[in-house]
Amino acid sequence: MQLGANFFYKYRRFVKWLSLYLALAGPGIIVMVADNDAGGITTYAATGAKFGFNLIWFIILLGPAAFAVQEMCVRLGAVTKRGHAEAIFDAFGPFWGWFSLIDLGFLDFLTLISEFVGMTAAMSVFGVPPVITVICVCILMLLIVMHGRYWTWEKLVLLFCGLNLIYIPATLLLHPDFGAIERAFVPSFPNGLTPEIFFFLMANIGTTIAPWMLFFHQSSVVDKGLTEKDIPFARWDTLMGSVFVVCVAAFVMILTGTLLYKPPNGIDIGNAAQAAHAIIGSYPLVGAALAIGLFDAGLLGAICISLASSWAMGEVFGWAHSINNKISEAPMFYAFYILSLVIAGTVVLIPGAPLVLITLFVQVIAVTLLPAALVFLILLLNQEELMGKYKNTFIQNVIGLSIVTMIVVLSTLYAISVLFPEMFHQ
Amino acid sequence: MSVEDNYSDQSEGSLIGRTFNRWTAKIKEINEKYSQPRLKMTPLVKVSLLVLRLYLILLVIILVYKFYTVVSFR
Repeated sequence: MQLGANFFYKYRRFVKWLSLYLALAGPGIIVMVADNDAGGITTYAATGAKFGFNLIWFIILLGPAAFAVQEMCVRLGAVTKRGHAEAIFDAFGPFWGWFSLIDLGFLDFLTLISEFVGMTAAMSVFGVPPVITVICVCILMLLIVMHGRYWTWEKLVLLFCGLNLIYIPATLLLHPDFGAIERAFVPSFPNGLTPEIFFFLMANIGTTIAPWMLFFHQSSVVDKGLTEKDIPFARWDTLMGSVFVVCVAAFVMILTGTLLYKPPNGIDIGNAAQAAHAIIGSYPLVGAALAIGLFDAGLLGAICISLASSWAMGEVFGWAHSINNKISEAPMFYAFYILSLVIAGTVVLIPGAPLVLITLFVQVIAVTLLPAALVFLILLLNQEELMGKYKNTFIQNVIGLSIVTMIVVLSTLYAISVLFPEMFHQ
Repeated sequence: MSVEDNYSDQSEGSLIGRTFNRWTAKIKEINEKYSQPRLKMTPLVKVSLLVLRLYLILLVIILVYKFYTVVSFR
C-alpha cells in the first residue's frame, strides 16, 4: 500500500514537472535545431561523404560545448530580462555595442542569404524554380509571426523542428552498418590528423556554435518571459536541444557516409542539395528526405536569424520588439524582419550574384563577432551585482573559458583556411 | 524646371533630411544612454577588452592582406 502511494506520488510529481517543462520548453530546442541550418546540414553531409562515419565522435563532443555556451545565455536572459545586444551596450558601452550590433546585422544578413541558397537548392531537387521558393518562404515566414502571439509562433516553429528529424528514418531505411557506427564513437583519425581533416573539424565547429545563436537564445528567453525560477527547465530545454542537434548531425553524416563515402579518400560534395541530386536516382525516398530536410533546415535558420537581428535592433533602438506584439503594435520590428527576408531572398534571385563567395564570407565575418560575443558572455556571467547567485561558479568558468578558447582558436583558423585554402588542402 | 518638380524635389529632400536627422538624434540618444558602461572595469575586464581589440586588428590585417593578394594577382 505504502509502495503504491509512493509510486503514485512520484508519478504525479513527474507529470507535474513534465507539464511545466512542456510549457516552458521551446527556446533551447529551437535555437539548437536551427543551428543545424542549411550551412550546417551541408557541412555534415560533406563530412560524411568525405570521411564516412569517422568523425561522428567529434560531432558528439560538440554537443556539450554548445550546451555550455547556450546555458549561459539562458541564465543571462532570465536574470537580466535583457537581450544580448542590449546587455552588451549596457555593460560595455557604445563602442562594443555598435560593433556587436552592426557586425551581427551584417553577418545575419549574409547568413540569411546562405539559408535562401540552401532552400532554393533543396527545392530545385523537386523542380521548383527559385523565385517560387523565395516568394513562398517570405509569405510563410510572414504568416508565422503575424498573429502576434509568442506561444503560437513557438509551437509552429517546434513543428518545423520536428521535421528536422526526417534524417533519422531516411538513414534507417538504408540499413547502415551499426557495427561501424559503434566503432566511430571512439575518437580516431584513420589517416592521421591531415590538414584536410583539420579543415573539416574546424568547419563542424564553425557551424555548431554561431554568433546569432547567443543573441537569438537570450532574446527568446526574454520574449517568452522566463524568470530565474524557470532556469532549471530552460536548462533541460537547452540540453534536449543539444542532444537533438547532435543526433541530427550524426544521422546526416551516417546517411552520406553510407551512400557516398568511398574509402580511403571519400568524395567531395559542394552542398547537401548536390548530395540529394546524387542520391535521388537510386534511393528516391532518401534523396527526397535529404532535400526536404535541407529546406526545413534553411527555413528554421532563416526564421531564427532574421528574428535575432530584429530583436537586437528593437532592444537597442527602443522599438516594441516582442512576437507577442501585433504588426501594428511593433511596426519597426516586423518591418526589419520582413525587409531583411525580402532583400536576402532577392539577392539569391539576381543572376550571377556571388553566392559562393557570400557563403564563404559568412565564415570570415562570423569570427569577427563570435570571440567578442563569447568573451562578453563570460564577463557578464561573472558580475555578481548583475547575476547575483546565478553568476558563474569556478567550475563553470573553467569549462566556459576552455570551450570559448577552443572555439575562438579553431574558428579563427577556419576563417584563415577559408581565406587561404591552399594552407589546408594538399 | 516646373514649380511642381521644384516642390517635389524639396519635399523629397526634406523627407530624406528629416529621416537622417531623426536617425542621427536616435543614435546620439543611444550613445548618451549607454555612455557609462555598467560593468566594473577590473584589470581582468580591461585585459580581455584589450585582447579583443588586438584580435580584431589582426583579423583586419589578414583581410587587407587577402584583398591585396587578390587584387595584385589580377
